[in-house]
Amino acid sequence: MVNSFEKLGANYEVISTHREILRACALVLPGVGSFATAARQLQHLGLSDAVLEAHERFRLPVFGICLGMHLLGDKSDEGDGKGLGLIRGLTSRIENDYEPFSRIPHLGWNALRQIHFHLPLLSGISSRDEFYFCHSYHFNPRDKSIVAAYTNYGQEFASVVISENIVGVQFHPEKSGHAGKALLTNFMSYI
Amino acid sequence: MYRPRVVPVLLISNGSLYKTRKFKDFRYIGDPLNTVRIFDSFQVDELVVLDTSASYLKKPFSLELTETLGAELSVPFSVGGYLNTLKSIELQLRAGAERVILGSVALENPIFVGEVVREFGGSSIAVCVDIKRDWRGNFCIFNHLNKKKYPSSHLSRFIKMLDVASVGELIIQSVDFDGMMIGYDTELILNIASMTNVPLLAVGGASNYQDIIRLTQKVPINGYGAGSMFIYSSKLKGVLINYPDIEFKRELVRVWHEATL
Repeated sequence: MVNSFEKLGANYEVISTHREILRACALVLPGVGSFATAARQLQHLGLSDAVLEAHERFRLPVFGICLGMHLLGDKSDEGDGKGLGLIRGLTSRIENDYEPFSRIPHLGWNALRQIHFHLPLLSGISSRDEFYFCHSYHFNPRDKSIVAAYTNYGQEFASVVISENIVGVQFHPEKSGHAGKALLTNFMSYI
Repeated sequence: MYRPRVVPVLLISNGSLYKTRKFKDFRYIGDPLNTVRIFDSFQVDELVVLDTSASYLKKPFSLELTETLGAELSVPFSVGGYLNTLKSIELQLRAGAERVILGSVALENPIFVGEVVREFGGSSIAVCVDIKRDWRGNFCIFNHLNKKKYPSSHLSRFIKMLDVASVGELIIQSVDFDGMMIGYDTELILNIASMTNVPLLAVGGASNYQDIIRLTQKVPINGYGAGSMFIYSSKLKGVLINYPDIEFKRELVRVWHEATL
């Protein structure tokens, strides 16, 4: 992520404290690791509270990527711990009955089936663009109207969710070449 | 639609890129960074970079190189080479590696694989297995450090262990077909595919892009790796870095999805 923002000329900082969150213009939650470990660290360092407070008081935009998207929700099958609860919904394991879609993680390049068009975040992105996915779990928002795009791997799952200024993407835009760069650029101009 | 990855595999030894034939004859290719830049311009699906001298020298994959790769590439890359502690793995992932590849450590200490998955998530880990046929034609794991073959009965036990541990990917390297450019070791891939539910990346033997199509028709997997094919222009081995275009990718998607029906 750092490399991507560096190349896009973003004014970014890697932060880890309550105070830094309250001073930020936008927060990016990257996604590497496991739900339990990440949830525990967010709680332990008081960051969950900071994020909720910043969102409540300053409408802080939050951008969750892969695991970061799962952390926007309430809970995950992957492990114990509470997510941020910024978007109501649960994260569950991808279950497909037949080969080769029964192989998880969903690992490879895949496209988006956009539901709402003309969204600033997806400006310039078409159904031919591909993004890099690598995950075994997917996020299920309670309110389906916030799903901006679905992706199919044996079954459809939400790959982009947008709820006011909370955004979650299941793929890794920072690893998705040109299409990913376009999305990150959109995010930067959007905030 | 889902599209499996076409993955150049780069081997590094003592800081330089090289290529082998059946894991023996070494041939120097050049400076890794230049090659990597060219692959980035091709927007490859993913890059695998393995430091095969690491285990001999007991020196983990260079963190500096990973940082450089992270800065140069806008596509994912995985690294491997004597990464056998949680700390060294954490550093690599933070430095920008998409996935860390475990080799001999998985063979020597299977419990460690589970620990790594628990700490970093299965998607952060791949295990690379080198497989060779014994004189009876049975598949055996080959340990490149001591050049020994494990008994063929060990293979299915090991693969099942990785399945249970839920590693993110299994890289299958065919020692017999390595550098030979005669097509993928289909028999081997079919064999392994039946033992596990983990995504598979096949390496060893590919000579032209159609070999990828041929393998897919028999067994659709999640990654098609090659060293020689993307680095040499032909069997005559003139160095010419190349990568399939969008037309080929469309054909691959079509064949892959047809093979799943």
